[in-house]
Amino acid sequence: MRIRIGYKKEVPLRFTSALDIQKIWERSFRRSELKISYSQGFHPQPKIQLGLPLPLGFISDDEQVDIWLEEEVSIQELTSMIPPNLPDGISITSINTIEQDQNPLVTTISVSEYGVKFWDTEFDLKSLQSCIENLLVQEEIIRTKRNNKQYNLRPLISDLNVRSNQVNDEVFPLQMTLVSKQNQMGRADEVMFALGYELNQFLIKRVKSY
Amino acid sequence: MDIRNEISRFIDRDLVTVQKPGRYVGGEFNQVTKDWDSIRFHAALAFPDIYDIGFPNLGLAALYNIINNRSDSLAERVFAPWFDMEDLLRDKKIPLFSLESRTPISIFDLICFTLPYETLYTNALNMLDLSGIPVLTGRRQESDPIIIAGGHATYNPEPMHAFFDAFVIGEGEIVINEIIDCMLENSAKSRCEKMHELSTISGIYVPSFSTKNIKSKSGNTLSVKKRFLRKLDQPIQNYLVPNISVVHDRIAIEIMRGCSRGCRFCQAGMVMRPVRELDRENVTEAIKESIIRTGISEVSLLSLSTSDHSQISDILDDVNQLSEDYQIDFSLPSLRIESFDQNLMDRMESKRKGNFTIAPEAGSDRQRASINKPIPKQDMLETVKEICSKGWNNIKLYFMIGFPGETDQDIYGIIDLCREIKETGNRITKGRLKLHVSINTLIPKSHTPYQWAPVEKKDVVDHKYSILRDGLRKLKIQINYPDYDLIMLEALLSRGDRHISNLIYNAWEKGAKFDAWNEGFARKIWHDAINDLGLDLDDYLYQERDPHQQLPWDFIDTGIEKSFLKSEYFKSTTGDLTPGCFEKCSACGVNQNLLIDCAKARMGDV
Repeated sequence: MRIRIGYKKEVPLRFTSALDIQKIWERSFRRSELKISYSQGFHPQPKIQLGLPLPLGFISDDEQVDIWLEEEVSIQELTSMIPPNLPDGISITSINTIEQDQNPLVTTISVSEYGVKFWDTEFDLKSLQSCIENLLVQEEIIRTKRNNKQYNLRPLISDLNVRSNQVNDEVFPLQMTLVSKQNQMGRADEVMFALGYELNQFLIKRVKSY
Repeated sequence: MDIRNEISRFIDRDLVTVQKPGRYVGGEFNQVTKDWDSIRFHAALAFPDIYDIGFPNLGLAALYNIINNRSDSLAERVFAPWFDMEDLLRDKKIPLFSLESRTPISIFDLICFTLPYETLYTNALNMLDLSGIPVLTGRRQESDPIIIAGGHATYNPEPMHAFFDAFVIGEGEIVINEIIDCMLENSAKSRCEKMHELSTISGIYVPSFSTKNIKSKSGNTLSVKKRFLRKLDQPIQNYLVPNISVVHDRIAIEIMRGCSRGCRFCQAGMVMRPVRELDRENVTEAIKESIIRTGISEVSLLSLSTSDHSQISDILDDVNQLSEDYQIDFSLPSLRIESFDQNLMDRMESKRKGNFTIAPEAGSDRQRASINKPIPKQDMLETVKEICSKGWNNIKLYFMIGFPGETDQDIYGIIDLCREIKETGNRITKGRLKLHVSINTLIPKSHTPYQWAPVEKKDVVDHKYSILRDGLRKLKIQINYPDYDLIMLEALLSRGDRHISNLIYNAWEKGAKFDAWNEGFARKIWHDAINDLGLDLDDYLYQERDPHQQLPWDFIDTGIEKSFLKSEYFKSTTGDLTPGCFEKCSACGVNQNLLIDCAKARMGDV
């Protein structure tokens, strides 16, 4: 049986990497006494597939994971069994069974929307607006990857705008839509750096992927 | 601004800029959080290395459970911040804080440091400093917490006497409740009075109240006897489950404490007597429960010598059953060739084949007799044959050099033994055997028969290293060995007296920290500190100690008679063997001094 879980990754797990999230799912299921299927072969691995990896430090309202189970279990049972066994920072929003031959999650997504919250709420909206305009008129925004390769960030930005009406602590006033494919991943933090911000000035939330 | 708000602001904003920020936020499954204000007693459990290393420490986990099981107390954890985090904390003027409630360490009532080995000492000083607590006991104010330390390294507490208000000698599980009760009863009293009350608890050493420097004819006026569990507690089952990667990320079940073998270099084997086993039913129950409560699928059965457990084959039967039921992996570190027989090998048949470790320690039958680890070469080769035919093809060999009376011939013996093991293994594996050799230098530790022995000098050790390097290179065998300066440091810290506190303080002031790490160990700092203080290394390290003189740790009573250690030291020169405890009691003194029947204690019958 293959299930697809939608979940939020919240602040307590902000600093847990995608690889470690995979382990958290595996262990949470074992604590729930639900048997995950294992791959065949010399080093059998639990069959768990995450969606597009969320960079360290981000939070998200829209994460997904596919998990294969040995035995049939009703959605109702799953809904009651799993949550008490999850650590703080993961909360389930949906559980569905899906066909065994459905495409892997990563191939179903091409775009993600992000919201950005600024730790300092007293910032100049006007100048942010003009920073955004200046950035978007550029044809090339050259950024460097961790492996020192350079790439153009501009075509990965589909939309970038600031909501002017509600600037307070709870909302994420800056919004962006980025290309989000396996081999072509627009990183929201890179957009922030291109706008001139530093890592300790903002919190990014992935709002939606589709 | 309230300091907790300031810390959470720091975590929100700045933590993302350091490596592996998940080290500093806690929040693991099974973590215990209590309401600070409604709890009377607050203890911080401090481990002076980074989270990744300290997290799996079993002693820490045991204390965490015991304290948090009390309704009047809470325990929270704190680890040493890595270099980048320390810089950030100092830069932003944020004090060291606990993982659970993010409370500054300085406002806890008690701080318990775990010190399993000596190269953590400077980190402990650094953590106090980062907490805003004076590093020297004498400089602390009424408002400062009581700072105590326990763990293996504190069997010689004197080198750290200037930094801790009190030491726990022995097994902390049995004393911690007495400490908390004492502190609660005397909570209205002054710091000094509290320390005095603590010093009346058996197994607690408070350096500022010790009069041990006054010598009487009968020896020390002060003696601190170690505390120990007469019967092992049921192991912890609700381990914390880390949200990030740590070393030894697995369930660890201590199936036996102590070792009956009596290797003459081994401090753990001496100070942890008597042997106490955990019953098969309890082991199995503990494994099963912890799998369900943690979800962790790797299980390790811990002890100094796992195959010596009297019920080990039954335990392995249970473990094999469990690994089928729950899809788990298990590992058995510390197997002894003498007790790792056909029977056990068959039971490990199905296991995933990782490294197989053999610790011959010395290269010749003669030298192995002298250290009282008399494994005949023939038996080793037989074992290699067996394990290779069962599918293992990675073997790790542990050796030590620097034993008293050791000659170049003994060093060549190590090379010969490695060659024979390699040839034997290759015949079975058709040349696929991989051999790794690890060489250590003897640090003659306190409370062992070698405590009087000198540390081998640098030129001699380097000469022996070069023989080994050349000899093993020809055989295409990988070898690793520690830097001599690190051995010297560990020897100084573990064999020192009160003066060594000055050295530790001086080195820490100059920036020494993370001495166990390549990134941290700064040999120049230590050499400068040694020179500043004019320490006579001959005295501390290179001279054999006079058997009639007091040793700095003589006042610590592990239960073993000094006369037993002396006769063992003498027997090491003649190569006379001492049988294991359960073969024949050699009257080390433990049964009389600790009032325990060792044979019964082994089976938990007390």
